[in-house]
Amino acid sequence: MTPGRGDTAGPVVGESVHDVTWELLGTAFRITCTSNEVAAAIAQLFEAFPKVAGGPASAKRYAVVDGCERHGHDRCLHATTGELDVSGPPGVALAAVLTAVNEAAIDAFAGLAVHAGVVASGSSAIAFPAPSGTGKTTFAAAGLVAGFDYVSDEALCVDPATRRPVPYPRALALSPWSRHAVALDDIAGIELGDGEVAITADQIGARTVTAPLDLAHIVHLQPALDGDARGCELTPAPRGEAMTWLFQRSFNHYKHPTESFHLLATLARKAQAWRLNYGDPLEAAALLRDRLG
Amino acid sequence: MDDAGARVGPAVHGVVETEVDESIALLHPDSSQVYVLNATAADVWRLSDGELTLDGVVAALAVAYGATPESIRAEVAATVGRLRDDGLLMPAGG
Repeated sequence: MTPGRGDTAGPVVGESVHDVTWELLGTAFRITCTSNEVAAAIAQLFEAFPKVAGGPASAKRYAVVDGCERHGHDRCLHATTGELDVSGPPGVALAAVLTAVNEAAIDAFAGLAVHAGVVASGSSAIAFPAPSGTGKTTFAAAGLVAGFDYVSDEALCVDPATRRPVPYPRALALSPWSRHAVALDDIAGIELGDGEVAITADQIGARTVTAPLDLAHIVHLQPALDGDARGCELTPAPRGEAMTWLFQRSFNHYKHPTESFHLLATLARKAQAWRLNYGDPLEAAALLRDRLG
Repeated sequence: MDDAGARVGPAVHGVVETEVDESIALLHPDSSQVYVLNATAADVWRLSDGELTLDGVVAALAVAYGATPESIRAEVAATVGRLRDDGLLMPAGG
């Protein structure tokens, strides 16, 4: 069977010329595409993850098709999975693939996953749990600029066997505002539509963590509202509150609530908890580097 | 409501608890909601074993804190009320 044809839910048209499988959080993702341009972009987006040879049958499959005869467009891309059928310019399809793969990777992860940005200094991880749209990715990028190593801009993932965080270093998707806030306007990232650009830790000049970590610090980000140019303040917080921050942002504790509860308590007991008030993410990341790095 | 003579607690069956420093974290068995009690609320929780009345809990905490029962009674009663409302403690007379 031609990869990407016949076993996916939506319309997939054209021959796939690129066929690569990556492993994210223990799940294999086989991504096929027909365009050299899209293939290069996908390779860059997933460069931090190990490749899997042979495209195992258990892999989740995605297809990005360029030049869609079905729609008669010169450039019409589809990212097709069981739940996804996206047409549009390359960036839209790439963003859709990134979103779908991310959601599937988190959903299939056997351990506990908490919505958080994570950076590291040596083997010590610093997690900042937060929901979408609150500056988590921006702060992760600022952390890399400040000299931290990259773990994730999306999730604190805790291995169920070792009870230690493992890296999930997906590409950072930054809005124009975010790029400007962390002085990364000049990096040529991959366009994802609506002005959003994906960049890698390597492009920022940061190292990507590949080994399990120890969760040393849990930081509650409290960014200022737009226009509030207050300084930075890092203050200790009770560990019990940190447990609340982690649990509130958990993706999957409901699957094993009691085990997750005890695991999060263990993590909270071993870590130090902090509140970080800030206006400028770069200044705040530098403060974190000085105090916790 | 003044249920000074009613026993406080015990915990609703299935509530899971663990200590994190001076706090106590509780996992509700049905909602999977987590509640983290501060040090004072944690002290109330520890005494809410179904044996003491509200007056008994207040008296014990007053001794522990070096306070008068009158000065802490309202806060203790409010804490017990919240724990009951959240389904963590059995209701009064329950």
